[in-house]
Amino acid sequence: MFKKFVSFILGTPQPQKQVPAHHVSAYKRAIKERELIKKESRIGGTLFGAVPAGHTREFFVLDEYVCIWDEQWFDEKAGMMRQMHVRYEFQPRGVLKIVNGIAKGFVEGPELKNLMRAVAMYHDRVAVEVYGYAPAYS
Amino acid sequence: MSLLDSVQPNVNTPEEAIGGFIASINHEDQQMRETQNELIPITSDNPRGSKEISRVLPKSTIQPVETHAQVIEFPTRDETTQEGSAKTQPMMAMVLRMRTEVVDNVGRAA
Repeated sequence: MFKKFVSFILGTPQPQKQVPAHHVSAYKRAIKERELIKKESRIGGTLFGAVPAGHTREFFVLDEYVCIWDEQWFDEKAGMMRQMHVRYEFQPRGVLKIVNGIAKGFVEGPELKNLMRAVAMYHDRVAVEVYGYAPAYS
Repeated sequence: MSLLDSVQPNVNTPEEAIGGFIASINHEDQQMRETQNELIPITSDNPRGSKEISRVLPKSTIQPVETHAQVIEFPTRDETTQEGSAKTQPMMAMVLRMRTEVVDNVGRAA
């Protein structure tokens, strides 16, 4: 404590604490995971056709049970940014759709078919374009 | 989020914007109707990809729930959603496996 006080008064730098190796590793892993999700998301966003001007669309697999569709755009009428965040949870009872944090029920009918097709296409393209697997893999 | 907000994304043509439909309904109707945005992948029979559709949902299905734990309040009306989940989930697991493999290599290298 005294040393800290003296070094503060004298303005001398205090020795930096070493970050444990496993913390560095966890950080690097987290950065890499985010980077990969971003790459996947870029592919996912193109699966559904042209993104309207001024919109940002992301579609990606968050983990083995959750798919995310996130769309942001500028609402000129309201003069503010809008966001649509859809979370598809793949549960044993079905695919639950949660829009902006509000559960809307299990996905059925054409939407379910389209979602299934989209995830299959996402898997195929991501395997080849992000992870470098041969097309036969998919 | 209001109903009008939810129909903004993915509007490809004025017809698909369903603006007329939205403008004509009053506040009470807004509570009964739910605009459903759907992502539709590009395929040979649907080269344009996403479009918007609107449908009227039974009132019971649009009651919001706060958390994941309360999903049991939603009735599952047919088995397709269960099948869909069961068929699709393994593909998501495979994506996760590929991702984890790369991330693990980074962890090992560090």
